[in-house]
Amino acid sequence: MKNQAPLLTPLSMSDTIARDTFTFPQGGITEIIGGRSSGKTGFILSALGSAKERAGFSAIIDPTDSFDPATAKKAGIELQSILWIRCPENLDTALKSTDYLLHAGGFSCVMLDLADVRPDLVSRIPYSYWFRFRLAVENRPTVFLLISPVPCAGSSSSASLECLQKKIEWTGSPSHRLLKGISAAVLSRKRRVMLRAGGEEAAFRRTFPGKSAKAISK
Amino acid sequence: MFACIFSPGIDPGRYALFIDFASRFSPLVEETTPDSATLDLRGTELLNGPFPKLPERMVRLARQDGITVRTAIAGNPDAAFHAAHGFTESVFIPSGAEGESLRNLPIEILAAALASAPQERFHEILTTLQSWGVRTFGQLAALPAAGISERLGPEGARLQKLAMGSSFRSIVVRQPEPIFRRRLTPESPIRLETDLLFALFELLAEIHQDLKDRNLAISGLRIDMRLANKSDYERSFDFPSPLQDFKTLKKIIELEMSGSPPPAPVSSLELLAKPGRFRRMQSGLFHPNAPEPEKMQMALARIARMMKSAGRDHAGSPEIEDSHHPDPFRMKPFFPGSAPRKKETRATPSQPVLRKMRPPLDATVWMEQNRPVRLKAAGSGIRPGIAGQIVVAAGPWKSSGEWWTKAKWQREEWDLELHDGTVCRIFLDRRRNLWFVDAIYD
Repeated sequence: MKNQAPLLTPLSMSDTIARDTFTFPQGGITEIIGGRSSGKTGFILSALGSAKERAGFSAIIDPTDSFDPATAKKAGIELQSILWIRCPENLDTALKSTDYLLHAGGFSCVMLDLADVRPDLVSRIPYSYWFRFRLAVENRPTVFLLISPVPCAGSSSSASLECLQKKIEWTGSPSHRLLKGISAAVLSRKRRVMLRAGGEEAAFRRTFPGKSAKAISK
Repeated sequence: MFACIFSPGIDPGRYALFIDFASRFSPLVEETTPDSATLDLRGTELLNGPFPKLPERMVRLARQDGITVRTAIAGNPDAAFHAAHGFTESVFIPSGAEGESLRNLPIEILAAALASAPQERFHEILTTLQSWGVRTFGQLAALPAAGISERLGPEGARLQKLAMGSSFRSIVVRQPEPIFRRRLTPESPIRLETDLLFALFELLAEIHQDLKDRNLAISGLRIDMRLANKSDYERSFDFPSPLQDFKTLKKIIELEMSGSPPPAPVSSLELLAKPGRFRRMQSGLFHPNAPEPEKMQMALARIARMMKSAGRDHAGSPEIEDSHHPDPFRMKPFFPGSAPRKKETRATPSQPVLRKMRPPLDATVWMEQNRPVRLKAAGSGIRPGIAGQIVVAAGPWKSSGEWWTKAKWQREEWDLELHDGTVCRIFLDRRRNLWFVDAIYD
């Protein structure tokens, strides 16, 4: 495939997935869709933090100011390589900021985080924005990640992944619960990216202290 | 030839005036001691006239400026210095005659020569020489050099050379720090933004050329304006990397001024540039990309103009603070220097991933038997609300801190699973007795 390069390999995931690397395509938009608590943020931070090589600089455009630096650091991300654009409650500014940063170039990864934006507002984003973003990253070694509650980039995206919550795991007695983890599945909605050889679906479990990640495969 | 101008007892407040006076005779001036300066006069015959008459001329000109000085001119800086301090009148010592001219000077004058060594060492040497009956430059110079070295060490040998008047050193020339500042006072206050930008670009062009001539770039700019209503208005910004491209600098000023124009007409204007070394980064084959400083600065300036009301924390790199505060981070300027080397250890999959609510969402919580059973939080702006029956509630976890500051907090945290599968964290602010949604697990 054009511009395919093993830039990001989520090795912290299950053994099954670890045997097969999947790639966020450079020079294109990767759309990651999921509802609340579907595991998409953990999936992305795990992928960014597990990169074996130097990942360069990343930009995060955050219109809802949701990024948690403490969590990201624990996921293995070097915070000094992150440019965090906080434009709270301003979707228009976020989109324009994304445009400016894509055209400035030089970033290994640009992430537009719309996960906590109302789905109706995300759906109303003009399609021309995604087309423009796609042109901006085309033929560049930049991964553009779009995190969204609903599909919005359409045919402008090179890859589209959907995170689905499978199970929320609690431990302890009913009166003294402790959140253990969220099991989720990652589906490829477009055939351009194969998550594992011979199949299109894989799953992973994000667990809390005491448990290691274990594959749940379909 | 070298000259030493000595002004005994000069007021420290007038020292700058004293140095300015010395600079009239040579561009190469060393601030040797707080009361004297040494000048390199080589090549200044046309400027200063015959050197034998120069000491008296210097004294006369200094008197006109209200400074009392003694001067000496000799073939090397040290001989000139000792002559100015030792003799009571200004003198001219022909080159090669330093030893003979200085022979009767007391050896105590050599104290300044060992300024870099501890004073105890000089006093020790001085006491030894005096015990030998050596009191003058000539007597010290007459002693055998080998014996002086053996008995008094390298400091003694140096003192003997100075006493002979035959030492030579290069003077350390005073280099005033260049200030890249331009000022403009228009005939009438500047009202239009276009006129203000035009004036700023004129000043910037001059400063830019100055810096370029010195092979320097601009690492920051400050614009000071005096407004027609007698108030001051200031804008300053620093760049992560020094910039040299004039078009980029113009654009950044334009974006800054259009984002934050002065509130009144401008009656005077000053532009100050902070110099910096221009960084030329050579990328390696195995190095990842980094944003170009000019393009990055332009993008950040555009974003800043869009978010001018959001304050300066809107863009940068986060840095974790050493604090137990629930959201312990601060923003620092993003610096696209060399990419940090990634640690080889794997990211731990054992940490929960949070999506924070900033500010926390106001919430209403229904409680039964001291446990939350229902949650409702209205959305704000572009964020949707959260509502539903609580299926699982884990908590409370109590935390508090920084009670000695204004940022003190005291809260009870709960992890909740709602009927629609949302897993979130809420807290009760004990100080205000209000519920909030803090974050969502994702």
